Amino acid sequence: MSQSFTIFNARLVDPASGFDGIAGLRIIDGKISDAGAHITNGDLDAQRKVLSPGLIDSRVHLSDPGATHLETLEETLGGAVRGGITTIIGLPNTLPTLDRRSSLAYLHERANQAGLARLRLMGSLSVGCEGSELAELGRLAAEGAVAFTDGEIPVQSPKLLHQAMTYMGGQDIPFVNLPLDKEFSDGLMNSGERALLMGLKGQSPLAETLMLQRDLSLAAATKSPYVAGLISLKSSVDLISASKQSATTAPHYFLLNEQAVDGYRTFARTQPPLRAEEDRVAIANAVSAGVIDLIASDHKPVDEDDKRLPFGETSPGMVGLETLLPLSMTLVHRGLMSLLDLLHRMTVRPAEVYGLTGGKIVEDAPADLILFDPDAPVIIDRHTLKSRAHNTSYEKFPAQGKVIRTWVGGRQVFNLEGS
Amino acid sequence: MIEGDPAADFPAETVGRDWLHKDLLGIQGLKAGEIAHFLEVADSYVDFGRQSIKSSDLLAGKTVMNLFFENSTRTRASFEIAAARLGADVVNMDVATSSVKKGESLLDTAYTLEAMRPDFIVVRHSQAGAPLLLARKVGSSILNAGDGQHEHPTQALLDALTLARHFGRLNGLTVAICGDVAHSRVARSNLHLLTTMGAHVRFVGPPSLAPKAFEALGADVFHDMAAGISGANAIMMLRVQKERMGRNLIPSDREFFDFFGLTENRLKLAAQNALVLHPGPMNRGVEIASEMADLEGVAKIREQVEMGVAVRMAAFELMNSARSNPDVMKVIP
Repeated sequence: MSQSFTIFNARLVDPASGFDGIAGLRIIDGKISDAGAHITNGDLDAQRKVLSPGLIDSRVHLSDPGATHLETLEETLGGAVRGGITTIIGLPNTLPTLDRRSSLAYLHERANQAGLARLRLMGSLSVGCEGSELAELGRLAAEGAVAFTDGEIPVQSPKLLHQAMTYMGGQDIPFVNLPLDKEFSDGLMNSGERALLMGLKGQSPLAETLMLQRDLSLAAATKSPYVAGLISLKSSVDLISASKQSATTAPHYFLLNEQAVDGYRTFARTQPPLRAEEDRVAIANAVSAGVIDLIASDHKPVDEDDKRLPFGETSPGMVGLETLLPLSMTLVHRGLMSLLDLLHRMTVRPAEVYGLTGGKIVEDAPADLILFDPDAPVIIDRHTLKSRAHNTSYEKFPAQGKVIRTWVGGRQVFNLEGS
Repeated sequence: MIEGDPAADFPAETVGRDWLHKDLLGIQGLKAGEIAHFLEVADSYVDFGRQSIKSSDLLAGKTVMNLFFENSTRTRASFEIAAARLGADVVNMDVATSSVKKGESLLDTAYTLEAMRPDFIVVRHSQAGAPLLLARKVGSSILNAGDGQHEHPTQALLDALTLARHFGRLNGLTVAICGDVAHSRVARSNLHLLTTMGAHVRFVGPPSLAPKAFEALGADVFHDMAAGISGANAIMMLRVQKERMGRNLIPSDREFFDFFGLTENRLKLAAQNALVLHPGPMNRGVEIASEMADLEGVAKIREQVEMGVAVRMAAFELMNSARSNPDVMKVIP
């Protein structure tokens, strides 16, 4: 006997088709069977709240295996569904790193059993993410790796990246690299007058742009699909715009600038660092224009003990799963872009880039959906986050957007009302 | 010592005569009136230090802890002498061989020491912002004896005391700070202090050591030594650290001396009666010609050291009086 569930009176927003209007949606056996304005009654009255494909968060640091004192895989996936994320794409910087097939299979199996958000993984580009020896890219791809990267560790050797791209030539699996040149990236915050004032070593924008230029040249030479792991600078936007390659950014690069570290606030230490106001504006505009085609949380739990140290001794990173949607919605509420365009960067676009089936509302697609109130006010405060790690720089940050329900494969995995 | 009221040139709201700070973390943010008051108190301790009996009981029964995470001989001794002359009990923590080496965090060390109830903790740390982190978490008064490349407030105050006693003013003076400005906490604290007091500050050095971005903070930046010291009332030479050369910020010490060393010919370009200062320790022949360092009546390098004790005594006195003010102490966690 088939199971059916119908949501009606929703503001259905589907970036893939460009639909934004009042409609209903029917789920049968975990799949979308029908959607449109003709569905006017059913099981759940959405009260004109937004019903959209679930978010795909394409840059998530996993702490499991290896650092489960920060967050277990189940906790990461649970944080995701609370944040309206139905698929996370994990970076390979676990312990051990995701450089072998069995490591991917193990995490896929754990995620299946958890039954929360879906888990997709990027495979290590090099053994141990150490940047010297090529990992078994073919075997990782066979196990479902959606990209190759050394994750939070930039690939320093141009030769290695070239070899990886050459070896995998002709396949559609993208290479993701965090563009940060090692010799230029030892700064603790953005270089410039604020770094001089605070006596902190500044990180030159060259750390990012030198390597981004290199990566784009290598991708062009080998005709490889490439994704800039994170970009933070106006000059990087110009490079990406000229190259037509994909680029990821995180909310802190379009909402915060280097002033967030005033008073040596270690929660605002990120890698790359928060940049100047003109960079923040350029990143926001590039997201709006679609030059930056991916928004991801760059969720990274850090032990509070690792943040209660002198600024230069702390670990960079912020948590972001639960705050991805409300923070990103700021771009809509500030009038920079439409809701359709914003959701495009977090649904259908990451699905296209990483070869996933989700991210759109079509017949027979898995019913990975979220219902959210785009206008509900939220004050982001690290103490109200449910994640075990609370390292966010958004203290008392006013935002709008509250996830009400999350479905993965038609199964409700989160309900704000708790039922 | 300072003619008239040095704070009189500033708008009334910037003038604060009472010292209302639990800690001395940096010069940035201090008002002209506070600095002037500080220097007056410090000036009164100069003669005190020249007496044969140099003891006071102002801090009798108080405990001063010296917590130096970076090596220091002279600054630590200066704080220790200042505290001892005021009758405090002084404890020097040998951090280099203690639990810190065993991996204890700065805050855990601080909480442990705090439990012994020191009144003052003098801290030097290689990380910018470390004294601020401590000050937020402990009730003792934190005196910053240098944090990374951020601030070294008592050094700037002793430099200012040296200048003010000689010139009778700070307002309107031109001070050229030369050498490795980029990595210098002394340069930053001096910039804040001197510009707050109405002096003009020049930073002089190659672009790798004196970046133009400092102009946004109020300094005039010169990459030519002759232009930079021309007409200056005081020339403050900073130590060029050997490790900078290994990192290719400058090619060699002799090349640095050729272009930025303080020589007799260059000193002639400065204003008449210009002073030469150096926070020490000096590299003779790298940033300063040996004979310039000993020039009678011009080089004030040893006088600076003397002023250092007076300034640190003033720091203890002011912080001690702030500690008896409930309005100052109620903000402590």
